[in-house]
Order: sequence, then C-alpha cells, then structure tokens
Amino acid sequence: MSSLCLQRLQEERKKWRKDHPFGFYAKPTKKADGTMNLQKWEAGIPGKENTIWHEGVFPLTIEYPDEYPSKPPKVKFPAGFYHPNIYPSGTVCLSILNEDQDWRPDITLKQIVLGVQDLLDSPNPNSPAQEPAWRAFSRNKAEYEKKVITQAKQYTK
Amino acid sequence: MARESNLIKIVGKSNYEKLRSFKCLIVGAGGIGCELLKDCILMEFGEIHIVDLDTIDLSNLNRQFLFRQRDIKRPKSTVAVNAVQYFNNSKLVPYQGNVMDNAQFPLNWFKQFDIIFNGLDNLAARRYVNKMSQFLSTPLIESGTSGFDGYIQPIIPGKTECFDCTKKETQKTFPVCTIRSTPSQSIHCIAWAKNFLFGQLFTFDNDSENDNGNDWGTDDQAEIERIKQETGELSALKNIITAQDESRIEQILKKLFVDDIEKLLQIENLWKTRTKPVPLSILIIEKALHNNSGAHLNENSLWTIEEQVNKFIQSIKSLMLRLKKEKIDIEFHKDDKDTLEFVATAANIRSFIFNIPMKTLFDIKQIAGNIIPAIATTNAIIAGLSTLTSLRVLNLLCYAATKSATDLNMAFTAKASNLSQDRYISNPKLAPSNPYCPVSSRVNRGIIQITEMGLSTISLYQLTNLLREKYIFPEEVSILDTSDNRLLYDFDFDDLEGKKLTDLSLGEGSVLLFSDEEGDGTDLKFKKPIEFYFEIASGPLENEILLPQIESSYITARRSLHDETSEQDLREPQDKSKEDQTIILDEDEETAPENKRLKRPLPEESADEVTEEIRKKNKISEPPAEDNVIELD
Repeated sequence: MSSLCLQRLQEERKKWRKDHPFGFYAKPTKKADGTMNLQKWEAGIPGKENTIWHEGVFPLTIEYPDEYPSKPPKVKFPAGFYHPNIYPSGTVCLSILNEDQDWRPDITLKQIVLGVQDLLDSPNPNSPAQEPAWRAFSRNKAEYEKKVITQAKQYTK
Repeated sequence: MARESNLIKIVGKSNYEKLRSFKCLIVGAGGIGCELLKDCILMEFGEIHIVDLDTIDLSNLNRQFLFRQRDIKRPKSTVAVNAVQYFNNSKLVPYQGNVMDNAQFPLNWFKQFDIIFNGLDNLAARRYVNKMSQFLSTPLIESGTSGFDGYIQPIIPGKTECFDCTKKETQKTFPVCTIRSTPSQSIHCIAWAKNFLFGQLFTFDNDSENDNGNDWGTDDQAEIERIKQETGELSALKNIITAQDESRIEQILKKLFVDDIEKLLQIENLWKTRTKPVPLSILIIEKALHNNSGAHLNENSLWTIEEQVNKFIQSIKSLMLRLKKEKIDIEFHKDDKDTLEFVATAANIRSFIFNIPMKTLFDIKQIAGNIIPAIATTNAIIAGLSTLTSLRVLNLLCYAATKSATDLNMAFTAKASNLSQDRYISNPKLAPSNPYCPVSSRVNRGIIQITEMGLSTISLYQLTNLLREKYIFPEEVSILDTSDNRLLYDFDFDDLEGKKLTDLSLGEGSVLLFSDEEGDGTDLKFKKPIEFYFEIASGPLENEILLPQIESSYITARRSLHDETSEQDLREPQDKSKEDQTIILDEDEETAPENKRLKRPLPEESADEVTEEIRKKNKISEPPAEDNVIELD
C-alpha cells in the first residue's frame, strides 16, 4: 500500500471522528493482532426519518483498495440486501463509487455514507441491480414497502 | 593508456580521487542492473554493491549480457559480479536478497552508500528504496524502461521530487459483461479464454467469480441470468475434461462456440448498437474433429479458423491427458505450450465469432503473458544516462557544477511523454518536491535507537508519551505502523496502550508514523507528522531508547483533499501507445449497459469542499508502469 493511501485513510478517520452525521457510525475493522486495519471499515447507515427505512441502521462494509484514492472503495451491504440498486452480492451501485463515472479522489467517507443513505429511499428503477426488489418496486409497491419495513426491523437501531 | 586517464580528463584528478572513494548501490541486476554495473565499473566507483533476489532465467539472456546459458538458475547478483571481474577495478559486493527485507538490509546498511541506482521492475520496491533514500538523504537515481521507452529521475531528498511526488498509473479491469458477453477487442477474448474459460475447465476449486462480490458490469437481468447459467453449464464441461472423454470434445466446442453464442443473440438489447456475433459453423467443427493431422503451424503466422479449431482440439486432448496424469490443477503459463495454445485458439475462435481480428500465437503470448518487450538498447541508453547523471548528482563535473539540485535533469524518451515527436530524449530540469507529497514533503523523518530491553519493557503508552513530550505534540495523536499497514493507536483507539513494543511485533526495521490529530484548535495548522525507523542499538542506552533530534515544524491543513492528487488530471492523457503492447487493461469502455448506473448528486456540502487547485508543475511523463510485467521471452 502506498503512503498516500495510508495517510489519506488516517485523514478520513480523523475527519470522521471530528465530524460525522448523526446516527451513522464508521470504524476500521481489527486485524487478528488487535491493531486496526484502515483498509477495511464497518459502517452503519440509518434509514431516513419519515421513510419506510427509518427503523433500521444498515450495516455496510467499506474496503479501500491499495490504489485508493485513485480508485474508489468497494461498498457493500450484506449479501441479499433488499434494494433495487444493490447487487445480489450486496455491492452498492452508485455513480460516485464507480471509477469510470463520478468517483473523484477527494470524495470523503461522509459523502459516501450520505450518498448511500440517500439511495435507500430514492432507488432508481431504471437501473436495476437485483431482480426481486426491482420487480416489486416497479410493479407492486405494497409488497415492496412491506419487504423494506421487514428488513428495516431486522436491522433495527 | 590506462582507462582512468580519460576519466581524469573529464572529472579532474581530485574528483577522480573522490569517485574512487565513493560507494554506490545498484538495486536490481536485471536488464538495467547489468548495464548499470558495467557502467559503474567503467566509471571506476570505489565500491559497487549490487542486490537482486532473482535467479537467472533463460528469457533474460537476450539482453542481460553478463549471463550465459550455463548461469541459468544461479543468482543474478553473484553471477553478474563474477562476469565483470576481468575488466573490474572496483570493490564489488553482491547480495542475493529482497531489498525490502529489513533483516538483511536494515537502514543502517543503506547508510554506507553515497548514491543509489535503481534498476527495478516493480512499484513496491521502488517506493521502498525511495523511502530509504528519504530517510537517509541519500541521492537516488530512479529509472525504468518499457519497450523502446525509458526514463531516469534523479531524486535528491528534500530538494527535488521524490518517486511518490507524482501519481503512478494503476491497472484497470474489464467489467464482467464485456468479457463474458460483449467482447469488442481481442484483449477481451484473451481475458475470457485465460482468466475465465481456462480456470473453469482445468482448475478444481473455482467458485463462480461473481458470487464473491464482483459486479456484473451490466444491469440487464436477462444478461446476468445468462452469465450465471453459463457458469453452471461449464462445470458440466469440466466433467468431460476430468473424465478424459475425447469423444465428447465436440460437446465442448458446440457449447462454447455455438450454443452460448446463440443464447447471447437472444438477448436482443445487447445487439442494438453492436455487431451480432456469428456462431461457429458446425461444418468447421465436424471437419476439425475428423482431421487428426497435427500439422506444424508457425507461431508468427495467422492461422485460419479451421487451423484454430484443430489446434484447440489438440490442446484440449493434451491437457486432458496431463490433468489425468498429474492430478493437480493446471495453471496457465505463457511458456507452457499446451496452455498457451488452448488460450490462444479459444481466444481466436471467439474473436472470429465476434468479428474481431484474430492474432498470431506469438502476439497472444505477449498479451496473455503480460509481456512488454524489453529492449537491450533501451536499457543500455537508460543505464548510461543514469550513470552519467550521477556525475552531476555527485557534483564531480567542475565545468558543469551543480549549484542547485533543481539544476539537475531528468530524462525520458519522447514517446513516453508525447511532448515532442521529433526528438528521442527530453531532459527537463527536476521539479522541487510536491508540497503535498506524503513521502517527501508532509513528513519529518528520524531514527529511533532502542535496545532489546527497551522493546520488551516500554509500552505503547509510554512510547506515545515520550514522543509527545519530546516533540511537543498535543493530546490527540496517532501512531501508524507504515511498515505493516496497521493503526496502533489514536485518540479513539487505546486498546493496545498497555502492550509492550515486542508484543506488537515492533523491532528492527519497523517504521512508525506519529501524527498530530488535534492541530492548533483552528484545524489549520498541525505538527508535521514524524516517521520513525526503529533501529536496534548496538550498545547500551540510557533509558533503553534514544529519540532523534528533529526540528519541530508545522504543516497547514490542505484546503481540500483534492490537492494531493490533482496532478492526476494533468497527467492522464499520457502515453496510450503502451496499452497496445501490454495488458494494462486501460481502454475506455464502450458505452455498454454497464455505464448506465445511478447518477446522483453528491450531498450538498461536497461542492464547496472541493477547491480546484491544480498545481502547475512540469508535465513530466509517468514512469512506465512496469508492475506485473514479465519481460520478454
């Protein structure tokens, strides 16, 4: 890993510690020796108030490649996460996380998690990443909302 | 006439004496390293140390001129040193080892050298040697070649750009769907044959590569379903392979080159903007199956589609046989004829189907083997420039005295730069270090002397306090082990405070970064972080530890994180020609469905956090990205 990657991740941690949005958490995972691995983080994304997502805090893993910040981190919910724009593997499909699209090296952790929170309640039906949630969202809103609420309860705050 | 008389004419008697007293280090005894060794000997350096971890390979012999057939499998460094003895007038010291191994090559060992020459082939080692040079303020001449291109960059710590002051190119990967469904270049077909098909058929433990989190690169559900199904069906094909059932090779051909293509054609969305593939004719398959002649084919000529199919069948047969005999996975290797022929013919048949020009076996070998042709002449030119420049770095030319480090020049070939079409070499002056470089600018450095006793009695908590007091850092600090990429302590993470340094596996060669996380309260000024190299003290120490004197300085916080990477924008339109030869997989993807992912605005505050401050710097070329490159066979 380059010094740039490591020092930037340290900077991200510092920034997060000093300023992070309410209800969110984000911390590096621990290595087997008890030290912290700045390349792999665990985060929690609260659903926005007054939405069908509000009851949950959804766990997210954020993995930073060695080439970060030239390349974006890989951001994942648990596999099978129910949302039209989340791949079956849990990978979040968001343009700011795509190297070929809107990723820029200066995008911060805070911007990423806020972007993901935003995505929860405003899925893009034109860009499906998984079959079940996408189908329900476009054809059967009632079923979709029921599933989302059930899932939120599973990840309750 | 003695060799030195010319040298003396050039540098003068007293400088010649200086040269005779200098010790230089050459890192790498490969293509550039052999040339450097010869040049340094002819320049009469007093002592030349040369490090390489490798042994000699047949494929080295075309350009690493100090090696002969009989030397194959022997260590490069020692063979090189033996080979030059007859014209040598310097003390030569070879080492076989990894220059990044801090047990064999601690910082203390690097201290003895007046100058370091890099003849390396990977980023990690370049970064490491660069850092050592920064620790010791030892001048480093960095160099690299790629085909006809090359560069040298003298690095004078504290005064000029270091290796990490500029962004290095990274490799890209193709989206799954381009490889699996919609190839448009032969490289896509080669990647399919090598990375996907070969693994599916000839290795035993391959979970579908997509279930462990790879994106499909497409949002088309029909397409994703198809890819998944195809993967499942391939495991059925593998059973044919493992059963060594030659009579069913036909099934493999039909599945890969007819049925799968027909399925693809059914997903009409894919072909709205693309040329439709044409399944392989059954006739060709039948004919090839009945043709058992193993005609010899030239690897440099383009085979017909019939010949491709023929060879494909033959290679499957040989591989089946080997799989049965060896009972272990077969891995693709460019020098393994069966695997190469399998990959090359499979890729070409697929290219044929998708209306992509086929390639010769030789060409595919280069692409699939990540081969960049290594050219002896380029290496000789670059090493020559490197050693000549060392005379100026060491300030031995009285008629071209080096008054300031930024008077020195780097050099690179025109093709590597795109700056000038009508000259081969450009040699701009060195730039001062990038003020945002995390290696050369935004850090102070020092060496901590510690005893074994100190390591086992001093706790992380004590160390943190010692550092805080000595360098007058505020309460909130962090300690990062940069030699092992781990965070040991920060304001929110004190779990390990009670541990002794040995319990944290710290010792000789550990490198710790000590940072101010608090600043002066306004968040604008921070103590400059300090990077410490741990050295085991040779004698007893008072308090078991000795902290270096480091002048305290401050850095201002970046106005935006963008600063440190802003050259990226300046440096992007670089040498695209490289990509034709190598598997840097860096081509712009066509606007396939994978690009239709969500576009959404960033959260509000992002806009003003980003201040576009592109530093105006010399637009020098990127050193050719040599990582993961295997040199020519």
